[in-house]
Amino acid sequence: MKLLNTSGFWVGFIAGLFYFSYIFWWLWSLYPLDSLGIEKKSVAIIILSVIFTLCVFITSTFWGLFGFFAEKFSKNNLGLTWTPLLLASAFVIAEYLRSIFFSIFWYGGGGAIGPHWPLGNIAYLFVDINYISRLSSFFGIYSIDFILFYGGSLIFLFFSNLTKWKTCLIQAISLLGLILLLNLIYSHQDVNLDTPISVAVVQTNIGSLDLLDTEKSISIFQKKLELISSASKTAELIILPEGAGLLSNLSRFLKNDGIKKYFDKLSDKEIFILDNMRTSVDDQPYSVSTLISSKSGLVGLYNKEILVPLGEFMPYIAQLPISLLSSDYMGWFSTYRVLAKGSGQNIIQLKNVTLKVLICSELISPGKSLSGNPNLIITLGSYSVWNSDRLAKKQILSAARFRAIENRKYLVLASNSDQSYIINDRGIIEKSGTPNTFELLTGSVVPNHNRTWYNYVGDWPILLLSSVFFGLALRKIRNGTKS
Amino acid sequence: MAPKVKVFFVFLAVTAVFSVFSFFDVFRGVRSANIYESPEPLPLDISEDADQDGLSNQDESYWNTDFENPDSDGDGFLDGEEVASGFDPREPSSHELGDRLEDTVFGSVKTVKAGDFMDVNLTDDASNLLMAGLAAGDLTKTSDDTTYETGINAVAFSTIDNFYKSLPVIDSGTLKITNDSKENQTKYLESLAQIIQDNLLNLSEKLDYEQNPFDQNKFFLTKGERFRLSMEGAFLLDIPKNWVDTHKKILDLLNWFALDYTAIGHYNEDSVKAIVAFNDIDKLNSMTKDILKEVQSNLQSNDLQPKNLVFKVMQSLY
Repeated sequence: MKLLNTSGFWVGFIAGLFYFSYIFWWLWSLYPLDSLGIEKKSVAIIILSVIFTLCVFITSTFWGLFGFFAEKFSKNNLGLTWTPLLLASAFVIAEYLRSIFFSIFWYGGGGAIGPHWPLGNIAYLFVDINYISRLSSFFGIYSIDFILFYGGSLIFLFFSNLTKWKTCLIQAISLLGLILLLNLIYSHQDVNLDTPISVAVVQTNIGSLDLLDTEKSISIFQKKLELISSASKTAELIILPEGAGLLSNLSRFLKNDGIKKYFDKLSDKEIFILDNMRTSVDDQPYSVSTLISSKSGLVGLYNKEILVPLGEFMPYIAQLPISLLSSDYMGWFSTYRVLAKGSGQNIIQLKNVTLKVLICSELISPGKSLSGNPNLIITLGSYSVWNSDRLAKKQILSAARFRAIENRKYLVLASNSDQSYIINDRGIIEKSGTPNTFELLTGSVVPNHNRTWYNYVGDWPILLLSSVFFGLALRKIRNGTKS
Repeated sequence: MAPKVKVFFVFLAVTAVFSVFSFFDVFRGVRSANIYESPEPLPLDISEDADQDGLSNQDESYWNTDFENPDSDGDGFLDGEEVASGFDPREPSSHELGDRLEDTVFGSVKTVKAGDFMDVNLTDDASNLLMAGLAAGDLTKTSDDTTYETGINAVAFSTIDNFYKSLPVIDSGTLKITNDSKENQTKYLESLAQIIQDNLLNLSEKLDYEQNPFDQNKFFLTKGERFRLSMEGAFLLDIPKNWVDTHKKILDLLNWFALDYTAIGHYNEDSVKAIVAFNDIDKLNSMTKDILKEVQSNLQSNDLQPKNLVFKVMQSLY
């Protein structure tokens, strides 16, 4: 209750309501939810309203918490030197907890608890400002949050406390110095580049994976075969988006030896095809990515681990409002399961190049792209569900560029609708496909064998630093209250 | 546990073993039966059973049998079935399954003839045989191991054999055969493309993952009915004479699919038949691929390039 009585909480919360309403507005592009089997439009509106409201309110609460502590720090006069640091720390912790709580809130059979969903992190808004975005290769997106809030607090304190402008100015110069120093290090960092690999992305234009009739499926399959045939003339690595199902469709027509022959005759030289399909393993449905060599068959595979709430598993929280709506829907939802949670590292070895495979929403989680010392990142996207929503696309593209910068690796994003991209190790889009078209996106990617600081240490340094500052501030406040 | 119940459980287990690959495989995923989207793993492992006859590729090598032919000696018994029952899979066996039953525990075996498929109830027949075995004392604890095992095996063989024996034979004498002019062939191929696309491939129809496949009667019955209608339609087509052999195979295939899916849909009435039918679907999917290859081969040998999408896909693949 004390929390709700503070103006700081409400300022943060209301600011969050506006910001996250903008961030999560893309949820409305899911309407009318026919891919979930919802037939009544009114039911779809109610479900989306509940989801949208919950997302916005939950995430805004963490901004409210930040507001609460910000007010507390300001009131306790912790000093001009400390206050910006403490505010920045409080924001980093609030953002990190928001990301974790999001996964707890949407937990269900198939869900994964962890900091997987930093959707709407303000760092993503600064992807085009190189001096800022590059900092993520040292300490991740939370370090950008830290710097932005540190800088923002300095500006605020400068204008609100003009008598101490010198202290503010010194800190601002120090901050700018730090940013410039890190940029300088970034520019002179060693990159151990391998021989470029020619890649071809088979970009498709599929409305929904589940609602295709046979004629449409065959037509899409034929187009994919044409594109693969064309790509095999030049590309060393052919990448298909999530749900492409090349292997599964081939197995409809061909026996095992026929499939081998098909791959073998694609090219005289050995080429690799990264496919993704929905299939069943031990009675469980998975989204499986497979790397196939045209000459020696299956090279490696990865089962998608981080599933999307509602889209790929039914969170417990969602079952409550649905059960109130209709017992019929509840019966259906209680057994709803699109995918099972996979396990194992999302790493596949292509000769001496280590591929990091991110399937669709896994791209959003920075931690998912760290392990295994990858040389190249490949994202297999299924973004048709957003119906080319501008906001969703912007956020995904921003996340993709940050994953490339954080790890300083080329990133290829293959999408089953909208656009595919080839992003270089500095987060710059080198090539992009024509939106909503069947086409081949070809280009060269250069595997990098060196690791960034962030790839080594992840988010822990900035979280640790923030926690220490935050703890010190609380202690100081408590001591002050006692005295 | 009552001996009768024990025997019934043992029977179920043995039936499963000889229901092509393994009972486990059925429940491991409907996808493994290629009923909906399913990858076929590339043959990387010698422990695989490429032709699903109950013998792994490694065992096929030991027996010197064809690892892509489930019945290497062509005597009507699966290679694995013959090995398990002590016969040589390379030598055509003169033994009838009925003989085996005669030799063991059962005095009389119900004879099943082609066309009885919808009337025969394999679950009832198997139960009757088991009861007879129990009454005779051969399937009780007191019987020696050999008698017991032979008896159980014989019941399993008989059940599966009756399934295949009862399948009707299509009378292809009534087919309307025309000359093999390009015009006739093109017209025929248009209808054939529709059959392949709507029935033999059917990429869009999927089972509900969450439910036991045998609880989804409606899905299978509808599918069975569609195959039956498709077969009836295929009977009325004008068949160019150079396509007659392929068309006969397609008719057989459509018929078997129709019967298998209908049998699965009637799981509650005859669960044993449904399980054997479920495994048989895998074999039919394999046959579908052979027929598609044959169709493509015919197209090439007759220098035909039909515009239908499904044929274009086949041209890209073969």
